[in-house]
Amino acid sequence: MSLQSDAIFEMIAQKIKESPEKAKSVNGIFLYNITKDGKIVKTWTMDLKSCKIHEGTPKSGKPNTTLTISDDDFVGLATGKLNPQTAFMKGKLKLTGNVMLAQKLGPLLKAAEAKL
Amino acid sequence: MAFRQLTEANCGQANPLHKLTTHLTRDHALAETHGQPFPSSSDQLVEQFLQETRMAPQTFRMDDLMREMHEIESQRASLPPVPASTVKDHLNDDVWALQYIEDGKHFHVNENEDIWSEIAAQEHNTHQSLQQDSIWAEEFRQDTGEAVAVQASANELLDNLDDPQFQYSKFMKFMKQVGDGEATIQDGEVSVNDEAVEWGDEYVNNLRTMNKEETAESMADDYVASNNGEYNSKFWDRLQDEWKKLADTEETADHPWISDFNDYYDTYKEYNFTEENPMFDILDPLSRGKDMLSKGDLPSAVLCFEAAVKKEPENAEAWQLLGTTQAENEQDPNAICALKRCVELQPENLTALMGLAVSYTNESYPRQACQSLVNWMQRNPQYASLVPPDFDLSGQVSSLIDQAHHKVVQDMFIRAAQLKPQDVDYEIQCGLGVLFNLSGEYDKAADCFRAALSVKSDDAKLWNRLGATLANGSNPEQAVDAYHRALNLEPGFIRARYNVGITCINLSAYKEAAEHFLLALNQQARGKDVKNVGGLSQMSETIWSTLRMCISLMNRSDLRPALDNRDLDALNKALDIHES
Repeated sequence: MSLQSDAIFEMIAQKIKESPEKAKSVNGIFLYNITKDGKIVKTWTMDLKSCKIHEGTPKSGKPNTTLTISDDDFVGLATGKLNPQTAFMKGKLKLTGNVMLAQKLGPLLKAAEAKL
Repeated sequence: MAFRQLTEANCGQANPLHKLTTHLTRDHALAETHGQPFPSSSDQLVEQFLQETRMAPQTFRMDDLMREMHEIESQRASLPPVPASTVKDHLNDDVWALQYIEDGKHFHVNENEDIWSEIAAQEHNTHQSLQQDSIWAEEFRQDTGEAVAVQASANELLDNLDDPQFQYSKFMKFMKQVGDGEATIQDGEVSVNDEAVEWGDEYVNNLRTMNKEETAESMADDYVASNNGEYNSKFWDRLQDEWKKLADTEETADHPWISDFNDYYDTYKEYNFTEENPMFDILDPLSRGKDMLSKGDLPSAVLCFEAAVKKEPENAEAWQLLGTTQAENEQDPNAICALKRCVELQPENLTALMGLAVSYTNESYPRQACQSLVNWMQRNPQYASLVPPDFDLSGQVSSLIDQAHHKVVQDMFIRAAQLKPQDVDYEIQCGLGVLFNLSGEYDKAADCFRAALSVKSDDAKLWNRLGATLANGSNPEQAVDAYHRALNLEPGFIRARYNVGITCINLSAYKEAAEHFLLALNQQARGKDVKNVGGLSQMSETIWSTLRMCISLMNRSDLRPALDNRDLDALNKALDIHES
């Protein structure tokens, strides 16, 4: 099933391939549960320790943080339409595990940032 | 960018998450109307639980229960099975009745025992859970889980294996070494002290010559005896301290153990030159480049400058122009390489230093950006005195910036601005704008750029920076206005056009965004001198990857092959862009 968030994950994968230090500076394993109409339809793993992004659960190791968010909201986060704090407070973004580590993810997820 | 408020450890400023929790924990209105529907805070939760469990033994107070038991017992005993008239007739059968009572007694006893054991079990449980609770609470408060766990498990293992066979196995040797500090676990690898290696060799040799069990055990005993206590505690204390430090500091990368990713310098060391640059053959590429720049043809200017630096690798001006132009051409990585080279040759080049700060900010390297700003100030004769002599951020390992350091740099720039309150120095304002962008204070940053523009209103770069600040601060409409001002001044300003596309994405106008990106790419391909090279050379990776994402978000995956092949013509046709 192809979701809009696929494009975002691809872009992030590209980003960390080009500059692996950004991934290493966060250094965590994140599990994303993407939902549609309330049900989890896809999971993505962002293994920033080995700089890999792929579908499914982590191949080695356990996720430090698990995030659950709907497809549309995830795209909104990446394109700057949805503010991460707002998303969290409205319950659109659910976090379990190491929340501090998830906050470090911020710069990495900014797919659409204006350049000074 | 908006994550900043969550990411910052700004004491005293309202943390939105905390505000939310105060709603939940101290919502008196809710409490009044609904009683206490849910436990308020974790502390209160624990309190409640403890209270409940404390009450448990009360309800099982032995004295009362005993009394009740006795009562029941006595009642039962005193009340013989009520003899009905028929039963009375069979009083001979009071044997049966007696037996029944006897049985009953036994039964009572049994029952009692059951109850007693149940009660005892209950009490035990509650006590246990109370104990467990406190253990959990304590563990939860402690931070040094890891070191303790490893140490504990190592020692546990040692304790449990009494089997002499195990005593001289390699693994046991290793565990003893770990427990006693001879071997240290660093970065997941084990490094064993030479001494221990020697001992190991000796041990192996001895094994061959002497009786196995005897020597092994004796040597093991000797080893343990000699190294017991001292090594153990010293090493583990040190380890514990270091882990505690790590746990306390926000920047975990400050520790030498976690420094291996700081090879970022290598990514920006080598400049990626265009292959087959036709500008190599012309006489004075530098002048031609400047000419192109004034005409607004950025891609061609880049080619000229590349040729210039190839011809004269020591020409700082050429490197600087190459760097600033590449930044405008939306190629920050190349810009950083070029500007770094320029600063190596000419450390006092202020333009290069400011350019570096901006590019580092765009690439999310805040520490390096701050360092560049500090260097800028140090090299600026007007403000050099404001910089404390030993200020150097390069000692830090990670690229994340420390709050405190950032504040210091900010204060420096504010003081510089206050030196001449009437006379706005647009460069200082620019620096401040960059700093506020780093800390996420977009409103202040916008004000700084506006101040800079008040004295230099024809600088397209400043208009673009204002626009970018507004866009990142979630103010797309005003951002677009600023971008248009920039593009009016400099139609070939690739970066500004890219930023317009970004704003379209922010507003979910994916088609318009894609159009803007394609326009920018077309411009990059159509540079006067670039055409001869084949067009692909000067195109920005950033624009391509953002366009790719855009196309996917538009659900036009049919255009994927065109994207992969960088087929501009096909994409132009598909999205109705006319190369006029």
